[in-house]
This record gives sequence, structure tokens and C-alpha cells, in this order.
Amino acid sequence: MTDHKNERSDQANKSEQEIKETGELTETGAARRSFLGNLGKGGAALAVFGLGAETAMQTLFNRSTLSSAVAAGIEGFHVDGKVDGFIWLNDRPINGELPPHLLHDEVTPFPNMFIRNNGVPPEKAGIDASAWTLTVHGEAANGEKSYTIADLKEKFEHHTLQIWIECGGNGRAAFEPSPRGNQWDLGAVGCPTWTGVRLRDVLDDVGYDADKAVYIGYKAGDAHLSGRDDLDALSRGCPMRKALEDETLIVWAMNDEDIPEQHGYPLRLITPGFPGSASGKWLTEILVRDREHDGQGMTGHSYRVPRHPVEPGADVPNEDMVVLEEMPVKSLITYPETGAETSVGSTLKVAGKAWDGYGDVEELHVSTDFGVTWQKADLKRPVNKFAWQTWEADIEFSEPGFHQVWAVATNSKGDRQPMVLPGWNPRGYGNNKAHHIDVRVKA
Amino acid sequence: MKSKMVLLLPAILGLLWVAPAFAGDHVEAAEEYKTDSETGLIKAPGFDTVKNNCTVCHSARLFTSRGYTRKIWLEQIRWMQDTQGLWEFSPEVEEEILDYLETYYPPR
Repeated sequence: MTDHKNERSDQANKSEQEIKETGELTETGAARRSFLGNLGKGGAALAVFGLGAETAMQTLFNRSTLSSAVAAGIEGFHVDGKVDGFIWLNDRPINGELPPHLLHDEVTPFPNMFIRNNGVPPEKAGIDASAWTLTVHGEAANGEKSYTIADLKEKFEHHTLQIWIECGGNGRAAFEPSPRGNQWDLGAVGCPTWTGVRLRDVLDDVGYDADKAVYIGYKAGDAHLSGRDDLDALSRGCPMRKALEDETLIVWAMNDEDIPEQHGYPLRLITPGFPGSASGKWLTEILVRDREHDGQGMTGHSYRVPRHPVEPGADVPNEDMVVLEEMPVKSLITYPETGAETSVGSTLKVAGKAWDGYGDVEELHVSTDFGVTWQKADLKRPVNKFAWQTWEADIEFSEPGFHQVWAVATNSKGDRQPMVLPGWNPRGYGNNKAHHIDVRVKA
Repeated sequence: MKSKMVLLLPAILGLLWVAPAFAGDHVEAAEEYKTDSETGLIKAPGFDTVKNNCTVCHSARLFTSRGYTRKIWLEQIRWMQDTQGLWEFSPEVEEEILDYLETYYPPR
């Protein structure tokens, strides 16, 4: 469920008297309006049926897919091979995410991998992979060099790593006032394996001026939505410090097979820990820049956050925005699906994933009392740096009723996920608020 | 838990009772007009102009999943005109588009 609706549920749980006492009537009115706006008549009717009033209301407010009710209206749209339950936010460009319980696989398979496109991908059927080339050049490069995929395979050491990719705007739907962009809920994240070569090895082979090189930028084979040849759909990149890391890869395979069409066939970049947009798909060029790359999606408010905190709804001038780099520490509960049932005295196994833009999550804690007390979960080490980490905890409930399980990850720097929504920003990036599921406990 | 449930029931009844009053412009607008099956857009005055100018490159879902103020809608149009290849609108067309978006897709 989206977090902003959790807050609405808090409002809905108050009686009229409580609301009067705390003077929250205006906010509650707004919450109701939004609630009804989202659910329409169907939602109200569901509430009327109100089997156990409490659980009915809570369920309405706590479905992880609730915010996607609008998006679910895209009828008849589907990408072949994607799992039933995929949430399609958009068809042109194609954008879709998963509810958390469909992200339970340790290695995310193709059917469960989210899609965030900015333009129109090149059709796989029309691509001759043997003729696809990657050209490296730019102000700080020692000339220009092109490689076929066969060249890359032959010339450089191969690496297979499991690396998560998360859309920078994952969780955007929770921010108020609503930032523009896809209203991602929780599931624009996934962690397949990728096979390819180190970007660093390729850059070394081309040669570059280390004093001059500041940033790498990519160019890609997808078309701008307008169809104009002079515009890129997306052309982002990363600072040299990131480009030179061991895990920053140019890859041709996802989960040991050709990269699927929507995920970048036949070649893409993997820039771990950064917003997904830094991991360019359908890769054709790498630019070694002598300045911060200024391609499509690098400037203005795109993939940028305010240099200093701002109040919700603020107008932030471009010069006060900085590029979003490492994604904040985050976790999801991927088992069981929210709404699970158990009984007093029995053990409920709760499990999920945790990841951090800097590469290591140290601890994961769960709480069944809204953060009053915490229980340490069993968190596995990553199979390699920038693989998400699986965790599980055995939970027992001592009393029947409606409960929630909250999960909070802590990274290697000691940074912890907040239980409240982190700072509003104009485009709604980096929401790493703790995730929770609802659990009904029978006597 | 029990006391909470007792308190909750009036809250729900209250919520249902106020539903029409709090339903908001957007929901009322959606009820007054039909929805275009192709784009999902509300078929209110201005619909044709919005469909013809705003769904050529991208689907309407890109901008109707949430609502915004007139100011933000205009900013978004300017951004598309400045950087994304959107054509210039005549003042009349721009007014019609903004009126439509402001009325039927306000912040919510």
C-alpha cells in the first residue's frame, strides 16, 4: 500500500469525536476526498458491505496496489511474458511495476522485472546483434573506438553479478503534493543477474585523460516519444568515481540469456546503486565527458533533488537542484502478501529483500507494534556487492486482532529507513519509507 | 481493540454520509461526462483539443494518474515545448487545454 494512504487510514481510524478534539477536520476532509476520488463508488460500496468494520477499512487502506487503481484501468495492455499481477502504469512509454509479494524471488526473473521506459525501444526482431556497436568517445577520451558485442566478449574479462536496479521515482505516489511523473508505488525494483564486462576495462582500452574526465554519459538506441531524431529519449550517466567501480558493467545477458527487448537488448549499462536511469538500455555510445553530462534527463529537475531540504510544494530553481546519486537504504516485505492470516501461538515467517545505494545493508529489524519494540531479522550477506539481500524473521503474535508488520533496514553507514515519509522533493525521488504488511491474527 | 471498533463504526458511517459533499470536482466531473475508451480522458469540453495535442506522443495515463494546479500544468507544457519537441499552441488552444486540465484534473 502506498504510504500516503496509510496516513489516511490513520485519519479514518479516528472517531468524529477524536477528530474534533484534535482539530484535524480539514485534513480529514481532504483525506476523505482523496480516498473517495481514488476508490470511486466501488470503494464506498465495499465499505458498506463492511464485514468487521475495522478489517474492511484497514484492508481498503492498506493494499499495496491501491494507488495503482487508476493504472489498472489500462485494459488489454500487456508485455508478453510478464507475470499476472504486473501493474501497468503506462503503455506509451511502457511503465510497469510489481506488488511487493511478486518480488519474492531471490534472483528476479524476467516475468517479475519492472519496466521503466522513457522512449520507444528498438524492436528486437529488427536488431542484428552481431552488427550492434558500442562507440566510446568524448572530450576526455583519447580518440574514438568502436566495439561489436563479439569484440567486448573477446577482449575483456567477463563478470556475472547479481545487481538490483531501482527506479529513482519508486515510491513517488506517496508524496503530497503529487510530483509529476509515473506514480510508482513500491515495486519499481528488481535484482536479476547480469553478464558482461567492466566499464572500467573498456575505458582503459580506449584511454582517457584522468585529469580531464569528470563524468560518463551514454547514448541509446531507443527513440524519443515525439519521433524526432534530434532528441534522445534518455541520455544519462554517472561521475567517473562510479564509472570506475568494479561492479559498473556493460552487459549483454540478463539471467544468463540475451537481455529481453524491454530491458535493453542487445547491450546495456549497469550502474549499481544509482537510480535505474543511470543504467542505460539499448546502449550505443559512451561519452567520456570533461563536465557533468548534460544529456536528456540530466538537467532541470530530472533525476535531481534539492541541495537543501524544501517545504512540500516549493518551487525550486534549477540551480538549487543536484543530481540524485546513491539511492537510499530500503527494504520490502515480499512474503507473505499483505492481508495474511495467522493465529495466536503459531509462528508466522515474514521475509523480504533489503538494499542500499552504497552496497551493503547491515541489519534489518521488524516491529509488530509500530516501532515501539524491534526484533532483529536474519539478514543474509549479499551474494556480491550490490545484490539485494534476503532476510526473514519468525514472528509470534500474543493477541488476536489486526496487526501490522513493519520492516526497517540499516545500511553500513548506520543510516536507517525512516518510518515517516522522507523529505518532499519536486519530482518525488528517493522515497525509502519503511514498508509494512497487514496481518490478521485469530484467537 | 473492542473499544476501537465501537468508535470506528460511527466514523465509517460518517464517512459514507459525507461522501457526496466531499466527493470533489474531479469525481463529480467524471460522473457527469463519459470517459473516452481509447485515452481514458474525461469527455468534457476541451477533450478533443487535449486528445489531439496531448496524446500524440505519449498516452494520457502519463498525465492523468494524478492532478495538478493550472500553474503546474502550464509549467509542464512549457517544459515539453522547450525540451521535448512539443509544438507551440495558439493562445486559444492553450487556454482550452489549461481550462480542461485545471477543471477535470485538479490536485487530488
